[in-house]
Amino acid sequence: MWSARLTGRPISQRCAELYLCSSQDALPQPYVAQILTRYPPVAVTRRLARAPITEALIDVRAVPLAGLSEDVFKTIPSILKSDYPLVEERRASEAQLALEPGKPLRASSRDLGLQGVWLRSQDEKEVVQFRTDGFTYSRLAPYTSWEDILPRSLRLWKTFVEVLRPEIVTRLAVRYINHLPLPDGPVELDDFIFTAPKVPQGVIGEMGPFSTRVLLAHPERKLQAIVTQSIEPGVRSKRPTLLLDIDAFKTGNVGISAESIAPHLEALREYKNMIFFGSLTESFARSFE
Amino acid sequence: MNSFALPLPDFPSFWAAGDRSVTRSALRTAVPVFETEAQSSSVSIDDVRRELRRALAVAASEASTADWDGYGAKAVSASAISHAAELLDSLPTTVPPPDISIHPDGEVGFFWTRGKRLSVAVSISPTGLVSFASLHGHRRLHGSEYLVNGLPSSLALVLRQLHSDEE
Repeated sequence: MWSARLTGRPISQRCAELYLCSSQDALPQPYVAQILTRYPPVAVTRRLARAPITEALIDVRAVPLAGLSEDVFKTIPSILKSDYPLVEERRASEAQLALEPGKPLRASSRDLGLQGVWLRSQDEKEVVQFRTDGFTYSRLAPYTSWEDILPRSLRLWKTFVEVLRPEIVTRLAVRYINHLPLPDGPVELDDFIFTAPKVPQGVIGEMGPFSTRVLLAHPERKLQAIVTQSIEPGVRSKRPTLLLDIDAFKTGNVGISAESIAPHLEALREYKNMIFFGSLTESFARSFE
Repeated sequence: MNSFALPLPDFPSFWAAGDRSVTRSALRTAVPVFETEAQSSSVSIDDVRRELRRALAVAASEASTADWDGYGAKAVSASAISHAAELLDSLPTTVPPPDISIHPDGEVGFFWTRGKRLSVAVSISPTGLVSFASLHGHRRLHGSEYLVNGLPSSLALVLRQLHSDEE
């Protein structure tokens, strides 16, 4: 099982040792046990019954049709009012504050016109953004399933295409924002995640809250992901929270129709899952079953 | 797109809580904290933060001159706005957004409420002193702490009391 899990993964020191254990039957069991204790196993990709997802979104960036009138946005709410009855027009604005120590604050603002419409379901768990620069479908907690949100977002994308007639799609994204509760008190982060920053070699002490933002790239499939991690003080409980925000995206021309973007979204979801489960230890993932 | 443009060299601390370096490299590393547009636009984090910045900017612009309320109020200062922005950036993403206002003494106010008997009022001074008062049922708590390195621990505690699902 270990070698299967490690195939195709970068060989870090941890992986190298585990690979050694899995590929050489002659290694004594106590040594194997020692290595496995030191390096907890990576979580296996599967469906989590209590997934810690606070928002799942599908995002499509598009170049709008030249000369698009603001009036087209007014037709959208009536088309979708049965599922998304709550409507909010968004105007773009720019506020400029000149902050200079010892001098009075200088403030100015200007209206940049209609940005788009935000539609919400009656329970406000679904939010759809129809913007001049694209479309975003968000599912807020409680998360349902990919099988639920993908068809919904593709149906809404078809409406976007029919009404706003974009010229080209420039970016597709699948972003999942997770809030994972950690135990209260000092913890060994390596028991929970594989991606925590490390205290520098030779430095004695504990690590406090952190925030990291990493850009990953999958060269063969031409996928990328912005992975943001941070430890936040607990709000709903005393337990601190690990924010794990994975924004998997693909740039370039991927077609415009729902049929042409769907396979790319599936690939992005798969990539997102690889990053999510590859970040967690199996025992931590188990706490969300 | 709502944007909230500020002259970067004047107040680097606006972008990165706890980072008061003014070197060129520090300024470059501070910038991405503000560039959330590069990511897919989420409702629960990016949209909330954008709206909070917009609300702070609007409140600041309305109170940027003395006597803005017609009753002799002080103008809000640049440093009070800067500290308020720093406090906003330090809030955990699970905290509901506060209402933002400017007080007649020129300080910036944040206010959270949950039901009739649960509320937290925060005032941020030009020196970065964060004063708070909370009402939790019949319990009243108040205190103050300087904004030094992220969310003050005492404020984190009262926010948890306000929003906790635990008894």
